Amino acid sequence: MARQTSDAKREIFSSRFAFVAAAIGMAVGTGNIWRFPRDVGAGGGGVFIIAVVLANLVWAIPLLMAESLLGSRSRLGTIGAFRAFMGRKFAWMGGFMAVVTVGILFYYTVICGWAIRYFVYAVSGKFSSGVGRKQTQQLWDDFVGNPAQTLLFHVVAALLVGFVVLRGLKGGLEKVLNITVPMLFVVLVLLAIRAMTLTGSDEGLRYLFVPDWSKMLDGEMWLGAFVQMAFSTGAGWGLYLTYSVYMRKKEDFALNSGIVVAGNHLASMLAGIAVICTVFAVQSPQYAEEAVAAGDQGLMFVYLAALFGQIPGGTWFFGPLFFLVLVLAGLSSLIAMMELAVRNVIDLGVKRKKAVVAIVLLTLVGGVPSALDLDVLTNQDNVWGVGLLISGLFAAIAMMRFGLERARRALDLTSDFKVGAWWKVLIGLFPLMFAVVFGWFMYLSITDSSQTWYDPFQTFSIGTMVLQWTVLFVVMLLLNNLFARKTSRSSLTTDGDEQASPTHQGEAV
Amino acid sequence: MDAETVIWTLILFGGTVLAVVWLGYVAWRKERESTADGNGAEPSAE
Repeated sequence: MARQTSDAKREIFSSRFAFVAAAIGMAVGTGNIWRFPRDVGAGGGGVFIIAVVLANLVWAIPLLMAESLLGSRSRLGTIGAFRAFMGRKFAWMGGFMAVVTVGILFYYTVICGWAIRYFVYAVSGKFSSGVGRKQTQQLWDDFVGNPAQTLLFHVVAALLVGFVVLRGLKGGLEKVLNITVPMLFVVLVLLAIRAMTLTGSDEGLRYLFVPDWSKMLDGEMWLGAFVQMAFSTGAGWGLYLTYSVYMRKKEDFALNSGIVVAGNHLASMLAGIAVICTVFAVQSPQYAEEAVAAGDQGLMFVYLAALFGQIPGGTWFFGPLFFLVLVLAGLSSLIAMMELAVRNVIDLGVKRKKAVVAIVLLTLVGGVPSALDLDVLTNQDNVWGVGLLISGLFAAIAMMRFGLERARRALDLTSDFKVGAWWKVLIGLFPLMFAVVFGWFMYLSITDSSQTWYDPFQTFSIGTMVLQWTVLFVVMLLLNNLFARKTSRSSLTTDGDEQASPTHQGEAV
Repeated sequence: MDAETVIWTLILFGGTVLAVVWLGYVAWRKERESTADGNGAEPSAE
């Protein structure tokens, strides 16, 4: 195993802004742009937003703080962090978390490729005034039906992100994210202002923000809110853990987590205004209902794309901006996913350069099935999306094994906001929240008449999820000893601070 | 735009903007204080 000497210096974020910008970039993804507006509409407008805020407070913030402690105190990726906090028998949990996120990395690269393709379409004036829904539908069908195109843009996305991650924290991630994340917010604000100033946009605002109180006691609405929050904030993915590896020592866990969650929520709200107000203002409420029911890609690439030609400045300015937002949001999340994979490989004793090349090649190959077949992509989205809930549970269990009071004291030590008993209660309750959300998911899958729930070869069945998770569990358990040996570090001190050299294995000095 | 829409937009969207601005301000102030105390920065690899 390649170890660096103790005089080597570790890479850390140069400022709190850099860390927070990277973390917000990690959290804000395509889901904020195309899933949140649809979920809000289906979930009863303001009621859904209130439920998401609550979910952020009881689930996302405590879990992000836990991830932050895992990463910043172990100074290792997910595998090493679980090894350090839980002992050598539990390194496989970090491996499970890593592979679930890598499973997402594979198909998410394909999605980012779509966004890049549509940005190119928009810049080349494809969405002009004569283009309607039939033409955009045809364009979408032609694009996803052309393997050369989907594969080409999958490769473009993977190489772009690989290049950034190859350059390391300071030279790559920080430089790029310090620019792209603020740019993402500036463009979102521009788009929201444009949408709100269109005649008829007030119907969109009503649809988004006025609560439909009849949904308040609807279990599916609450499930939707928790799932939206879990996917959107990145809590439990291991991504925040990975960025926390590069956190300065005296960093504020509570405040940073709060800013990341609030920033992510703001991005969702701005995207919701931009998308829904545009659809309501330019078309009839019936078209709007159809659009939000058309699925994530249908809303963005078919229904919304058909409207740009009808908005003043839409073809050459606002259309490209919409897809630019999608590209920026997608790539900033993709960077975090690739860094998570690379960090773990580095911890296993491989140099960054080799680790990046290996992960990019793996991503190129792993994404091919999703690039060629939308059903595979949907299946992977479902399997690893729900798998993230399990990853989140592992993070909570790691805190419990480490000791909730011990972890709380470690968090409180450098937090400006008091980390009190509330954090222990929420992490302690996490398995219960997990059981409710996960159980509800399983119940919905079993009662879905369009699928045979136990059939492992159906897109949304429990069978396909359990089969793929089981394979992963078995492989990770078999690799546990190897993981434990390679990521071995000295034990943590009482307050959770690290005793080990902060040097990263494999990092160029 | 009707009053109900304005009120709920202000509460839910305006509230989010306020939360981000407030948290951002607190973070900026703490960062400035810690930098002044010499505790803000750590040596980096570069």
